[in-house]
Amino acid sequence: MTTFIIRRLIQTFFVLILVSIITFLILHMLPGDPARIMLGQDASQEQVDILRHELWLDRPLIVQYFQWLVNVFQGDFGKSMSYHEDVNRLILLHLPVTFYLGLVAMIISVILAIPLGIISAVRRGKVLDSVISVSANMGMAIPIFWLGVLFVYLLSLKLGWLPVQGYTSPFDDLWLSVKKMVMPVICLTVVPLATITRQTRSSMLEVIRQDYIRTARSKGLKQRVIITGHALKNAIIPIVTLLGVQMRYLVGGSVLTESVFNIPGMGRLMVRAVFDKDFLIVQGCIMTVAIVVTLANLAVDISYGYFDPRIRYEE
Amino acid sequence: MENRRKLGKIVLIGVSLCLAAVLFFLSPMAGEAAPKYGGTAKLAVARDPGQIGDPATRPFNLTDFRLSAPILETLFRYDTKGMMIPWLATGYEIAKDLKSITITLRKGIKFQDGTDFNAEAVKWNLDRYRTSKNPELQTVSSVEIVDPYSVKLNLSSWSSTLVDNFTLYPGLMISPTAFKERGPDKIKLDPVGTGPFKFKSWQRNTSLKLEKFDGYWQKGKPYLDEIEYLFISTPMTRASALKAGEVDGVMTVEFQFLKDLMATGNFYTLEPGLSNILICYIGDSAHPDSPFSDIRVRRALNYAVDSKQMVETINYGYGEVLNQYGTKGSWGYNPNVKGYPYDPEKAKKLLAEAGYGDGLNITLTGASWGTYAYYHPAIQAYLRQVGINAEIILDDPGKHDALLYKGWNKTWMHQAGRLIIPDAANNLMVYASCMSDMALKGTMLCPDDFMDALKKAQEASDFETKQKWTWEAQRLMVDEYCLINFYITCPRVQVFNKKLHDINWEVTTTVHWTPEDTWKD
Repeated sequence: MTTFIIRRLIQTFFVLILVSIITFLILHMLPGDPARIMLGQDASQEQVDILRHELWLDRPLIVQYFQWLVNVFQGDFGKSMSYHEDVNRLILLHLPVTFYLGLVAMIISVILAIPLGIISAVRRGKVLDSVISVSANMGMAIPIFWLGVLFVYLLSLKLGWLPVQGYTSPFDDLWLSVKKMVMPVICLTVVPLATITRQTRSSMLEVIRQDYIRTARSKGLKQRVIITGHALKNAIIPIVTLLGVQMRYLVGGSVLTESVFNIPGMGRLMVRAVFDKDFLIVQGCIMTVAIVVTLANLAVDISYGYFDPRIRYEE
Repeated sequence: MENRRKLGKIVLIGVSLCLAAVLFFLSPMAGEAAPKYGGTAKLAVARDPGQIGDPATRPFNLTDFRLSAPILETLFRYDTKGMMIPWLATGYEIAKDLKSITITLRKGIKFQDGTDFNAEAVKWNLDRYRTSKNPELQTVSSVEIVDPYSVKLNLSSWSSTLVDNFTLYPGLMISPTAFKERGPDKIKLDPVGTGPFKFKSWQRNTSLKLEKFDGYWQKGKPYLDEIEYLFISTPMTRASALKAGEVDGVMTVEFQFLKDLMATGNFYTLEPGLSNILICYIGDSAHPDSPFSDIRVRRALNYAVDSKQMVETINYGYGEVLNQYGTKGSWGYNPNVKGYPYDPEKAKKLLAEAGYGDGLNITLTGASWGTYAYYHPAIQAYLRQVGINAEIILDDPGKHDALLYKGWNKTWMHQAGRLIIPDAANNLMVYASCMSDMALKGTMLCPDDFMDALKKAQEASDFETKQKWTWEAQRLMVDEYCLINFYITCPRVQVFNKKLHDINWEVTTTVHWTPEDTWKD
């Protein structure tokens, strides 16, 4: 297991280097001068040249990249020229917001999706299965932006039940925080709920047909014990894999949801940085997301051994 | 005797009634309500500023300026006609030899940290600004203190546009003490000025809070306790927040939301007075093989478009038809410019004369963001009716800026011209002539008489001469050479709750409003 983890960490390191190179190159290929964008059209060419020099934009790309990489190894993502603050600090301000909302959405989706998927599989062909399957398909098809706008119209403007926008930390005002979270969390929950429900149903259907399930039934075990003790354990691996993939929302955020509900999360930070050509923020955010996602996938791979004893990583 | 007493009573009652009536009509109750103290004004803006404390160090853009206005004030401001009025400074005098300007300062003003506002503070600010490679004060060779409330600016050369700059970035005054104590980095995010509000707190991408400054130089002001800016990037969310009462005002509401908001009866709109965004297009008229080098084609592009209809439809009635680089009401607007009223038949005739009777294919490069994108297809449709096929290529801010500074060979480039200050001569020089840093020199025709008129406006030592040559430049640009195709303004319409009074957001220029006068029911 230790060897496996070390090997994966080394792989992760190279994946991150590759991600950083690709991100760097793509950003620098976009048209437009970041110094001119930041200073505006009124600025003189001399001011633009000075800022380009300060931002190292007049150096060769490879020099810029390696200087940034050296700083990253020292834990410094640089200083944003559009915010005049350290990128580290900006990420630390925005990341908890996205993480908080994403985590709540993910917990709700898992708590609801797995039972729904099981019910749908066990009641295959019945009305309940149809209702759940159709709902899951709708959940995957509904545009999140449209759903958000609909919520704002109905629940805020028409009924006045919930605030239109904004974010309040639960440590500042828990009740206000909950009220502001309801609509964005529902929007963030819909797609993973639908996806995990469908995956659970599919995995369960495959497992339910197995011989050992028939054996368990013929032994007289209760349905609940068969489902949770035997079927679900064997069906869980693809579901866990899917959860690992969904992890990116915990840190990357959903730009659409954050925009509609005015949530100061990572998604909005990144999009604004792309339009401002604030390279350092974009690179810092992408690296943060990449680190979390790769480590999350590593955790998922390790967890397979727990769920399925047949899967063991050789020493 | 009895009758005299009765008469006396009648006269007394009559006089009392008259006196009461006079007092009533003179009192605030008769018209506007009196300002009330207290409350927080919550204003929704699209994005938070980069910095709000150090105008000498770029970037410090228009958003930064606008949002820092309650904290930092300028030496002068503009009135609704575009004429400068005293603010932190009481006036200025130009030396007869045009080699210096003396600015006199208002007495009794302190910065929010207690530092005196005087000639020393102003000299510090101006010296810092001009030595920071900013373009506006490059002709100022030195700044002297004449007395505690007067500074003298010595000039290497005269420019009539210089003084107007003191209503903008160079005129913003920050506390030298605060700068030295906090340092150049911290002052950007924690500013100290002379304004009616001081900095309280700033949560990035969430909100910026300002609180009342009790030592403000205008006694009895401000009225509000706090101003809070909320940063809401999506136009629909901003409009919804206003409708739900979560904010008191929204900067820039897109036209399609205005009707719904105004139908509630709870809001009022303010349109920019003198500062506006001009929807205009500049063709590559400098290259002889470009179709835009033919004046008949340039004129046809104007005759082909019904600007009035665009105002009524795309702008929902807001804004105005444009025929020059300036809006009506400002001193730079030449009322004698004829322009090119909608006449598609004339457009066809001109195109035929120019050899494009069978049709003309052009490329229209335009901004893709905000409301700009709505104008291009409309113009494309008008042009098609006269035989011009325009292929639209939309660009993002980065690509748009790149084209502005590198040139747009043989294309027709959308230019959202901005009037930041009412000085039309300055605007023409910076945005619409070969004196510009932009690539106009290699892309737009630069007739000698047009450039000469601009130069004379720049060198004018009195207002009348400056206006005369500015008007001449407008006439030449439009009627004589049709260098730029002007269509309409794209006003930034602000919407406020009727409970919020006297905010005057952008009613003069794009960066000025009156936080000191704003009050809330």
